[in-house]
Amino acid sequence: MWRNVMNRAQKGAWLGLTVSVLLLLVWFFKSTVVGRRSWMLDLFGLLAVLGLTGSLLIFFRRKQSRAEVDSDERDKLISRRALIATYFFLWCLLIAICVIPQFVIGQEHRIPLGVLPLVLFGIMIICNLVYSAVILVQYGRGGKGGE
Amino acid sequence: VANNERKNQIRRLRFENGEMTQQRLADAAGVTRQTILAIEAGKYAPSLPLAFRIARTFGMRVEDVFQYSDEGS
Repeated sequence: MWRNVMNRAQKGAWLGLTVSVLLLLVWFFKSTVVGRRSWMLDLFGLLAVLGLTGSLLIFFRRKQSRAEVDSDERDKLISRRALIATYFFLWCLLIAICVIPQFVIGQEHRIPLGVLPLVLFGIMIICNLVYSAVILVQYGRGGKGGE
Repeated sequence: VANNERKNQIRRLRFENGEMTQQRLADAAGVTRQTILAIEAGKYAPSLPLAFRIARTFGMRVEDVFQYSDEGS
């Protein structure tokens, strides 16, 4: 049923949203509740399995007709708007990451070097989440264009 | 402030053309079914080339399929 309701871009956005939320949840639980041991491996394992499964669902779906297209001008417009929104969000996030810790822990404190890749990885996940969410919101509203 | 209103006759024309499905029209116009759905509902304004392709699918002119009223200007 859902195969006929959504196009490829919507399915991709749902996959992106699901993977991002799951990764954030795993990150949160592993770093707070369960402990930090080998959680990076679990994270990448989960990402690989979900990414592979999702790709199979999206790219090997059955077409309803031979002439059916996967994306069109509206999908491109929605994708472009989502990219612009994510770009602005990324800048806000980067500024927040640079400014907020200075007020919270002060300029004299230090953070472990291992935190840096984790922060970058977190930024990637959050940006993917925002991009997917913006796409889905636009489809939900009908993806108004040309107004 | 101008009050712009778009209308289209796609739904009516589909039924007048042998109850053409949205998927068949989408295939003929080279877009997804969701885009036809959004255009029919007035939630998406198609580009000029797409408007022409849809009109030609029905064998009609663009202005016979899409109407635009610009009140107050």
